[in-house]
Amino acid sequence: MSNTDFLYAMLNNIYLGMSQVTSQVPMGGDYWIELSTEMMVERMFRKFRHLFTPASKRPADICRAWIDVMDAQGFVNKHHYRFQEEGDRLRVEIQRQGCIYLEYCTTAREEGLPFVCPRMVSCKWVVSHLTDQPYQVEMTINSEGNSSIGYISPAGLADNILARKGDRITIAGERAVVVSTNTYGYLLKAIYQYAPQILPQVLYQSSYSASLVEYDRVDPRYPDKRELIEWLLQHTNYLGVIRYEIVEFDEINKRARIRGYGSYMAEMFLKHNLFLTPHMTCDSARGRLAAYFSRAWNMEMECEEMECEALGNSCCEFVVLPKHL
Amino acid sequence: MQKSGYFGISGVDKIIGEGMAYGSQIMIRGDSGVGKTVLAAQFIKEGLGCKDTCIYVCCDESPHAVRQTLKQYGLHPLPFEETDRLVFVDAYSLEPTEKYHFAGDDPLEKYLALENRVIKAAAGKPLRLVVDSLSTLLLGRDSQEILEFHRYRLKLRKKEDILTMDLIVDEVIDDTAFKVSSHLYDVIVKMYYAGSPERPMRALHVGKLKSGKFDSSQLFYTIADKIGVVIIQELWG
Ligand SMILES: Nc1ncnc2c1ncn2[C@@H]1O[C@H](COP(=O)(O)OP(=O)(O)OP(=O)(O)O)[C@@H](O)[C@H]1O
Ligand SMILES: [Mg+2]
Ligand SMILES: [Zn+2]
Repeated sequence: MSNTDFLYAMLNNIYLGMSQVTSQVPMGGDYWIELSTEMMVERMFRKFRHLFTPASKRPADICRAWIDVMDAQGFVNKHHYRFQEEGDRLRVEIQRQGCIYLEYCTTAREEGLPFVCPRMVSCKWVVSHLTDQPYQVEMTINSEGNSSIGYISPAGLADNILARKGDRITIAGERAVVVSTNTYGYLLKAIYQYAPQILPQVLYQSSYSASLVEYDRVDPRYPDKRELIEWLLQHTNYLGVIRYEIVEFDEINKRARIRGYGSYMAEMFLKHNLFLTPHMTCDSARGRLAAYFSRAWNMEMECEEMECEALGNSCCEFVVLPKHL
Repeated sequence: MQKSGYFGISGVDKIIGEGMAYGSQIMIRGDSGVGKTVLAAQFIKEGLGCKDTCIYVCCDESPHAVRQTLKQYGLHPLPFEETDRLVFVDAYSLEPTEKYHFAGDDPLEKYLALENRVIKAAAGKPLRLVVDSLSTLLLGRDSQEILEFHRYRLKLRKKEDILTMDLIVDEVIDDTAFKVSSHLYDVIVKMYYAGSPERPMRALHVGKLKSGKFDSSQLFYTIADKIGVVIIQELWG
């Protein structure tokens, strides 16, 4: 194995390693790989900034100038790139043949690991940096084709990112606190002791209201309602609350059936004895699902829990339906 | 297997202690408008939350009205009806509107047969049965017929381990025949207006007849949207 081959293999394995790690940490995923890549790009950019002379501040010109710099250093072949502006989006086409990240690209997809194309991200970062505007990369995955196609477009709102700045942790830009189930359990227990009757409704209502806010924040990014809800449910899973699976999504009849696995509510209620007799527990999940679907289908929706892990079932099951029925 | 059930109303459930064995019979009595149907709705919600099968016999209002009440107190009945966990018997409408219908003028024997049929369809599952209100069903009937029906029916339901809740509107029933049989119930909840005309309050008493104990404490309650009967004394630990 030549020295270069070895370095390429190393580079790809480093990326694959990062993907594996980010798929295992809470709130991990694509974003962290993107962030790491951006930091590498930033270092490169600082190093070669003096050679960088874009014709204008248009995204296409910025990208071309940046690829020229990289090409001059022998890092990439500029003839493998095609940039084309489409409205406020920039279409990027990159030949896959000869791409140094090819192994990462194919292996990550084969193994279902988080993947972001480092070359797309590199262009995106430079555009964001120069224009001082947030941009995002959307990839169309077409592993059979000879080239990867992506779009660099103005980004919507912050992603579901858990980040730390000084003493503050934030999720999607909003201050977050990580609460252990012990702490949260005693909070619930205190409510239960003072006013047991209101606990289910408190859980339902608080979750409903918070979920409306979450929905509205993410809404502009997903024109497809199902994708939007899937994203939100995935986010809930990242937070360690429950893992949802949509088993029915019938927009015409306004009906959804969703399963939940590993409900922390079920665990919490059992651990802290928050009922007198075995009982369905996941009122906060009901509130969340009712809120998401009320927004998505633009109609007042309600949610009932039909099966629950707290009753020994292998999963929780929720039905979402219009209130007026 | 001995399973025990609750009302789903803390304060009341505390008095019940270990819970009510399935097969227990509950009488809810009180004046019109005091909150019996609301309490029954909570009893159903609690039952569905435990995965019981619940039967609701509507004598005073249509099943549609009871569905609305359930919704008002935070339970959407439809998914439970679709899975046969909640079954309505319409003993209110003149014309049949539901799968199970009872014409008010028919003999009680016929009612019993219908109740048996509905119960049989749900056999093998923990069952709750609510009759709202039994007093309407018995209204204007011969005392001998009432007595026989009542005794026989409760005996059956006990044997079948059904948690039975009969609602009684006080002013409708002053029939001595019925009052005599009230000792057949394991738990009696009396709901009434308390306080003064300027500050009306609602209160209830829970009586446990079988053990000979009658808990004399007066529980004040309010009716809250989405929840139902809330015992005021319970709100402050
Ligand atoms: N959210 C609420 N807050 C306060 N009061 C309410 C609320 N919802 C309903 N009520 C009151 O509760 C009462 C309804 O009680 P319910 O229907 O249970 O009475 P009932 O004992 O079944 O009467 P009836 O014998 O006539 O059927 C009404 O007086 C109504 O005004
Ligand atoms: Mg009533
Ligand atoms: Zn559950």
